[in-house]
Amino acid sequence: MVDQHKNDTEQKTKEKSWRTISTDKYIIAGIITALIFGLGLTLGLILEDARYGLVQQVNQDQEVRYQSLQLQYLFLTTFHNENSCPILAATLQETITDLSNSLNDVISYEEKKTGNDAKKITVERRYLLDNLRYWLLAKESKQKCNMDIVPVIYFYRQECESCSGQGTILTYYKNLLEDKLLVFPVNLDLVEREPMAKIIQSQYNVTQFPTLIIDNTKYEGVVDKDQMKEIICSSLREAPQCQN
Amino acid sequence: MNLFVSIILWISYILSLYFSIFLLLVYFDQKKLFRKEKTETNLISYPFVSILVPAYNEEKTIEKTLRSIDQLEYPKEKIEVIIINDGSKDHTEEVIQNVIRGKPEYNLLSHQNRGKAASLNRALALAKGEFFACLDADSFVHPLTLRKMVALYQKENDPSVAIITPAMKVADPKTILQKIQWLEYLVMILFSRLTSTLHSLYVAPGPFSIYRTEIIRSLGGFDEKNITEDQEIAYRVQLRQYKIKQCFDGYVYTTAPAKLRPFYRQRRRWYLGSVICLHQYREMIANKRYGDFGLMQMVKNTLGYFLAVAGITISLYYIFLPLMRVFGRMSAINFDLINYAVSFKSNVNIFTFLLMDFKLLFLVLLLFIIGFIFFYAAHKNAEERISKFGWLPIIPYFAGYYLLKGTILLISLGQFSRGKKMKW
Repeated sequence: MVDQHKNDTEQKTKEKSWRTISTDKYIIAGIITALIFGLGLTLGLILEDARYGLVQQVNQDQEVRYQSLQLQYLFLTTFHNENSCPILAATLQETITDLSNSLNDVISYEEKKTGNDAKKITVERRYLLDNLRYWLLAKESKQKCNMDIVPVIYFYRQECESCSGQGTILTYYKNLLEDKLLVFPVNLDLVEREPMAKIIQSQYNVTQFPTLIIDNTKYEGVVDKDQMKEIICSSLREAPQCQN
Repeated sequence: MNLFVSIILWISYILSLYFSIFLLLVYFDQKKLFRKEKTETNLISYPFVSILVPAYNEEKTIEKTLRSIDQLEYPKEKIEVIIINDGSKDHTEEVIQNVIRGKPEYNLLSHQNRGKAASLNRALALAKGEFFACLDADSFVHPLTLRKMVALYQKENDPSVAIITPAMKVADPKTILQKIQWLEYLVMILFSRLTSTLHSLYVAPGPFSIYRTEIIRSLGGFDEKNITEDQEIAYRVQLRQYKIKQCFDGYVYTTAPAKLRPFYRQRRRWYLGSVICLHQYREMIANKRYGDFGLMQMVKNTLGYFLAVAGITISLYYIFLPLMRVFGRMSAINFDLINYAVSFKSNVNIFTFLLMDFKLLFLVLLLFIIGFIFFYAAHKNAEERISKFGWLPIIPYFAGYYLLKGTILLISLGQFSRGKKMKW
């Protein structure tokens, strides 16, 4: 028995000449993996650059459009020329649709980048300010030009569980009513960083999430699909989507 | 993005890429040789071979199994068949009796249920062959396979070759699950052929592996406590520095589970068995004395668990959690998706494209390409058309099959660690 064990150990310790060690392949595989890794990294960096350029472009476009809109509004109030109302309306619609699309993209782009929180917060603040100034413009244009639109402020927070459902309902009606419904999301997580968020919060005394301001009425908690339809349709003069 | 998840993601992709590239290098190294290599069917002599057929509740398939042995192109007087009825509760015994009546080369042993390894050991004690083959009673051997495998022993002409393994194919796949396994087995034939050149095989499949009787006896036969004796014996043979070779065109057809539940049971046994074996033979992990087997295969097998864990975590993070979130959001609009779907159309722009994680996508794409190369090469290697059972099974094979296997692996791993705690 002891002998057997000794034999075993001998058998195991003896170098076996037929055993292969593919050192060359280990190394080559390592090099190729590193190369592929490097190539992927470079490719990623190049595209990152392209992305950054695109983000800048979006921001600039937005700025010019806002200035144009502001000027149009100023012009309208100065000369009381209601003929320019349709132009203002059209620009407003276009800009707001663009705002929600492009800035959403910018935000999700910033979100994906790790370790750059400061930049992300800056982008979010910009988005919040843009939304608020467009909301003010929309409210005033509705009065001045008698536009058939429903402006909605949507207060939410990141950690609010039922907010994603509310967001989906809003998106749903946005798709249904298109440019008649203008939704301005306001992220109140930014209260500490952006004074304007605090101002609007105390203006409407927002304590609960989600909270909606539809036209001038405050709704606390989730407004479900059917309620939402009723509220929106009662503020619109004509909307074929409200018929059924 | 969660930093932890992304680190795991990167490590697992790089590891998978490294192993795939290594295997690819081995493949390109052997490609020319593989193409012209053909196993001899002419034998110098006909050594005596014992064929052991353990059977437990196999009344449906055993007749076909025994008939396939009948049709082996090998002199009848050089074969003995030892069938072990391991306490079957069905009509296995009667079926066997009917088939073997009047055939002197067949012997039937019956005993109370003891398990496969114990049955094999009992038969091994009686076997007279220089070599012995095991053939599970749900598998069928090709008529030329025995000749090819014996010819390989003669060609190697090396007393330290202890096991020659077959090329396993799925017998007559009907359900989609069987067809996916058909693809998996084909790829396994190529992988085993590659690992065989590196002396790194670590399973001696139950269907028709041929062993050198003397060596297996000296090692003490099969381990009756192990739930996957076909893996355990291979690891033990490696540990004692004996050789295992694959006969790449020695085909055996085995019945694959047709439904998810038996599939799950089979895999759980395999995977649990492999964890146990790896743990039992961990001294070979990264051990230079075992050449590529220690440095590569053992390391790869061990890391396989990490990759499975990572794969599941990642897919949970990227597929299931977002899916659940989407489900929750859709329920808010009573699943009126027609109107909601418009937003997807309008939002797909250059940004959507740019938002993807390119570095990761690049790696995933490359892994898929390597996967396809092996997939194609495996079909060439096993002389099969890719579209033999239609293109449909290929989609789940690439899309979700590894996830399914990974999940079962994970469950087995959990059972293993629980079992360990109980023992300690």
